[in-house]
Amino acid sequence: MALSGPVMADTLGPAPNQNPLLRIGVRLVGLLVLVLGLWFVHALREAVPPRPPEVGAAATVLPVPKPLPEFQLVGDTGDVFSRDALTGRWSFLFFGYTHCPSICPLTLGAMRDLRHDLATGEPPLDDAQWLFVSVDPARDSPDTLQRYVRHFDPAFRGAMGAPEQLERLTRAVGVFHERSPGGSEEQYDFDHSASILLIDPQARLHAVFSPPLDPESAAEAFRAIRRLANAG
Amino acid sequence: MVALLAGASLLACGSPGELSVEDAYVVPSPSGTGPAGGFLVLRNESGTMRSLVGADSPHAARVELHRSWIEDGVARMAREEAIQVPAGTTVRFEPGGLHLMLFDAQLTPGRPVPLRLWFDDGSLREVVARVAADAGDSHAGHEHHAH
Repeated sequence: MALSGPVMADTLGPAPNQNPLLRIGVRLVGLLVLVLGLWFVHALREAVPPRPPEVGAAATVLPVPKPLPEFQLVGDTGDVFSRDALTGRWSFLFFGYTHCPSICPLTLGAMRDLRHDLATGEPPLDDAQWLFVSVDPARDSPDTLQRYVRHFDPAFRGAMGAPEQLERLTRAVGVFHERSPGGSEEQYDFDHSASILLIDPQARLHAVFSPPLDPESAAEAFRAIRRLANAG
Repeated sequence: MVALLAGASLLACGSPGELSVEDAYVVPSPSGTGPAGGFLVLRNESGTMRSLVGADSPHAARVELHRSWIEDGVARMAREEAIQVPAGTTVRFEPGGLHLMLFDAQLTPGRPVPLRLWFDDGSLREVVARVAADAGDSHAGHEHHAH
């Protein structure tokens, strides 16, 4: 084998057509290596899960972030709350209503813990905004929303608006909300998505945290998402 | 706190080997506009199934039994007519699951709330519920309930 190298170079160099069989053989081997290589890369891609492994199971990261449409809601201090309000920083978005006595308080409590975990972790992350969007514009007001969300965390903000504007946002991000069966004119409930949405600083739906929110694993997921976004 | 719990258990106790009500607390609506949530533990040490069929309180216009659950990522809620407590079992009313809904509740933090619970055998249990700041108060640290 040690001899064949120089011999080959000798024969192929000055007289390329001298040994056509050898040349075809080399080409075939080259082709085979190329095909095998491509197949291997393809198989490797198939085997890698779409979710970046360091994000974990707490969040589902969209393969391609989804830009939000224009919408116009009102914030809990009467300010305009549009897509612009979701630009320039990461935002956690949860949809509910202030007459909700069980799942919404539970989730907002978990969001408060998540914010605390992030703010006190290493490195501290406290630059995101935290939003509760009402799916009950008939009964909620900016004022009641403000009292509701501030009860959990002074950093939380509420937003609400006309049903068609709310619909623009919820439809785009796949948030289900519908009056629960039963109830009366004044007393009724909503079935609503219990997921928490993560909006990136380009106002795109970036990831979804599935219920029930576990603050610790969600904090790890958010840190991983931030690292990946910075790296990419 | 201890005195409060002792008071609650004095009122709550039936005879041993019967159904008992423990750790009752109510959580006011954070905005003051919605219903308050009520949470407790029903422990049935008798030999027969019991059902909770109703509740009332002098501090609320109306008290209903409700159940919340998450199904395919969607939070749902429904009113329940009765909550069964099979013999020898414990049923927990807790945030995210079973709860009492106290409508037009007049609650003051730190001031206990009397609750009356009606059962299918016609019996009545009177308990004193503490008023918690929010649902997270009942969960020491990061306690998770999988449903």
